[in-house]
Amino acid sequence: MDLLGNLSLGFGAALSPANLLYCLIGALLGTLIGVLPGVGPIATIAMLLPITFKLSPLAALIMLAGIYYGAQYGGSTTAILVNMPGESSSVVTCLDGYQMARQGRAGPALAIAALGSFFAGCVATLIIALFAPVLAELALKFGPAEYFSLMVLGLLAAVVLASGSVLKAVGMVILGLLLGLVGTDVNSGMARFTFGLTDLSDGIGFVAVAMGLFGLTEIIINLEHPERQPQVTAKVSHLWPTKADFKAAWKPVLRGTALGSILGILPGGGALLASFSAYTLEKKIAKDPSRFGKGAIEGVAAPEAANNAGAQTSFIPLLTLGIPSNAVMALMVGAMMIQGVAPGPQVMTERPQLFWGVITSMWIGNLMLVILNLPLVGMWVKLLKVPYRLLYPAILMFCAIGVYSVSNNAFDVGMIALFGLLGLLFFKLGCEPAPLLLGFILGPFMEEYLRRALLLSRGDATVFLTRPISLGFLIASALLLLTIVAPAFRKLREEAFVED
Amino acid sequence: MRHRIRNSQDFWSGVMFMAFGGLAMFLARTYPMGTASRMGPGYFPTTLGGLLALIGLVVALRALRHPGEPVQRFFSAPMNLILGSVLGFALLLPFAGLIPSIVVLVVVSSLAGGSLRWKTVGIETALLCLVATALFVWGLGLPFSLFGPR
Amino acid sequence: MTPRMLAALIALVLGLGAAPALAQTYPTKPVRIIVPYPPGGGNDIVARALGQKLTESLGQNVLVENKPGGGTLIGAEAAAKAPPDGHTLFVGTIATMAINPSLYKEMPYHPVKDFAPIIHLVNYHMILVAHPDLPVKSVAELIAHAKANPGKLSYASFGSGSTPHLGTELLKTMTGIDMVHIPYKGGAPAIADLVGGQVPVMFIDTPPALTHIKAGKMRALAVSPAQRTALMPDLPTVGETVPGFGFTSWAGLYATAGTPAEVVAKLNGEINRILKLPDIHEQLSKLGADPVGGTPKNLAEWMAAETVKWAKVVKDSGAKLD
Repeated sequence: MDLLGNLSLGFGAALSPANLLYCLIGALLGTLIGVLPGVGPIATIAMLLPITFKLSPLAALIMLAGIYYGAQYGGSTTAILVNMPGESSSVVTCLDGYQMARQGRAGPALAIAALGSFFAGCVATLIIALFAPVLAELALKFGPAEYFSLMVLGLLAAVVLASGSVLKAVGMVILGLLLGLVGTDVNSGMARFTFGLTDLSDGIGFVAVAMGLFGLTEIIINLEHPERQPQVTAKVSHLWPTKADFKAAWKPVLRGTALGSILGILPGGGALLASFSAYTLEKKIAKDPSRFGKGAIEGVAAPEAANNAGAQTSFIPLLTLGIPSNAVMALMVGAMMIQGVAPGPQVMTERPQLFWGVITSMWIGNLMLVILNLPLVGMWVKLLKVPYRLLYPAILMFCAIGVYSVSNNAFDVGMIALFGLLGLLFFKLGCEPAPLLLGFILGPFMEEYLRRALLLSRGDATVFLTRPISLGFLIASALLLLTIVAPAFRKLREEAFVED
Repeated sequence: MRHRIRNSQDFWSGVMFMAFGGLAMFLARTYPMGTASRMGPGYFPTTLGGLLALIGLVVALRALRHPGEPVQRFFSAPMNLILGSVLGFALLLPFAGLIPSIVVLVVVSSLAGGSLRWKTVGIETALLCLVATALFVWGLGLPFSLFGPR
Repeated sequence: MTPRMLAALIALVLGLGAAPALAQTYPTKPVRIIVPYPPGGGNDIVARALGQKLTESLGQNVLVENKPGGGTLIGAEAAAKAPPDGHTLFVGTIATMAINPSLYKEMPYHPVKDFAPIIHLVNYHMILVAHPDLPVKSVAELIAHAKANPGKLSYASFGSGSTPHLGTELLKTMTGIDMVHIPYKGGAPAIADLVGGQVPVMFIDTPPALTHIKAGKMRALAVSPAQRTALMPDLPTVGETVPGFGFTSWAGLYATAGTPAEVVAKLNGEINRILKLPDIHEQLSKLGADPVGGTPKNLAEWMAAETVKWAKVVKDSGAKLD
């Protein structure tokens, strides 16, 4: 493989002044919309589609890709500063990132997130350049059975996300799964749990749920307990990560990058799992897992790296097979078709300049983003010095407008209030929302894949065991289950002993 | 720790799980179940609802034996005001347009912050209306009507 | 009253009661085109291309507003309830205007009573494809294979009640073969599983079909409409093997019922002109879409015929949604 030749072809195309400019515009715009809670890249890319009619195909793709990964960088900023996850991937960043901000360590959290993302972006870009076609073939080996087993593993990982009672975490996962089932059943077309409302027939919007459970609940709690408000505790000790921070973070970044790169390739919801599973992995192998959820820097570094790596490698199915792995990628397909580039395996051979140009522009874009974001860290931290009573109405406004803009439906804004109420109930009962959210994301996938696998096998449940990849995931799930259950049992026995 | 009350967080968590599980099973009662090998739309919800109720039962029973943290007061003025302001925004937006909805959202939610300073709230409301219009309507070109229905 | 008669009646009523001054002043404020799908799909891109051209010629912003959800019911309902002044337009499709009425027990809008047809925008051809491992090279061989292995063959679709689902059901009833329906949530996951060899057969949209066929990941068996398509002139139609078979997916532009006929006529004229522009032609052909055009009455008649056709398919196949 002539990697160097390909890369230099790509750089030659991506480094033209015009393409550099579009890359910068995309990265800037992406950061901006990523920072606004609730406003995602989908609405923005859709808005820009007609403008791309006039650009060259390469410039259009470079700009749209820039918006996509720029939004990943920006999204973590809001998650860390105000506990608002605008994308499923930044939910986990809230857990420890926001705690770090409350301890006055927003600076190090933001800086590690940016640096970790940059490193992951570089590695993932290299992986795409080296292995894209091979990996795409691997992703095709995943049928419904494989995905179902992967989802089982993901749900067990959700239980590990919680720092309190295992049993309550399991309850929250199941509650999340049930909430995920609201809407039209894919297999039968039947409406479930919709109370006759058409607004619910496509399910509850993720952004509304996440904004309600995390953001709105946090605001209400902060107002009920003024002493918890961020500006009270935020003595900004130092802006940059210390040596100790770097030492703690570099291995999690490596592991997160690896996990994210692999899961990002899977088009059927794999990338969703990247940040969650990276967090779970760190917590499982940490010497002191109890630090997680209380401001552990590993809990920011690993998921952020995984998330960005996954965001990059999720381009692989698109570029090599023409199969979009999420809504943003589906928009990219639209943009490519407008340009007369049929996304698919032949892009690489027929339009090498385009293919390699997009890939190298990803690396350039990541470099721009890290240069752009590091100086911004100081500015974001200063934002926390705005008195809380002025800050929260602004957060609420951005959040409400953002959620509305996802599908231009005021009903979704009402759902934020409902989930704010539920989030408050969970808080007062000591139930953690993160496992619920993961259950909510994975629930519909899990049922869909399970039923599809059984439909295809005509009801033969052994497919999950006879297909090697699926079997591998199930074995891994069993092992993870063992590590969750064993300590709980030990505790139970000790408790029983004390009682007697 | 033996003196802690029995009506603990865990007990009520268990009750909540049982309630949600029961509700799910109740709502799913009319959905066709199918069989394990060819599941109908009712299979997953009913099974999960039952499982959730069961977990709720175990959590609640364990809480009766092991006293734990008490539940804090649930309703509060900030809660009502914040939730109300968001609901108000949602209800107003389709009829009144973006600007009146923002005014309601910002003013009502500001009431939750304790002592209200009308001047600062006024300035902030005006500023946010301007930012939202510039950013979302002019900048990103989102389809909003500033005043009135669309 | 048949839908066709009703549509004709409404077209007549619209033609009579209109203020002539309106056409000169319309549009007086920005116009929105509601698309009942998420951004990025074929209908969305068509609407955005159209919106851009209309912005240039009407002198007001014409914006696309995506209102996805509820099997297109949410967007259609919003458009049906908009003020009838031509400032809210709607991209109605085969799903919203012809299939949904026979699929859903309760509809929040009526395709004929609540909408004023403006123009038939485009037709999309679908291609019947098979995974290369399936030992069939034509529709005849597919039918023979399915008859030799009853119930063993599966086919994919974009969802229950989608055009590929009902199109395949039509094929099943017309040929008496048995295949198991595997519904997916949208086109992308279905195509991924077809390329991956999990499901062997499906009707898919032209653009993705062309690339995968070219790459040897899918085998083209036939095209869905009654006539062969210009994009793949060598590919036979399904109807050449199964006489009488044929369908296309389609989209039209609608206003709310009661919109002045002058406004409808102005838009119809503008869009007829736009659909003939070479750059629009080029963009549409990249999407695998054929521009149609014509009068509002053409669209009303087409709609009525389609409604009758799909009602029968839904009834025969037993597909039903709640």
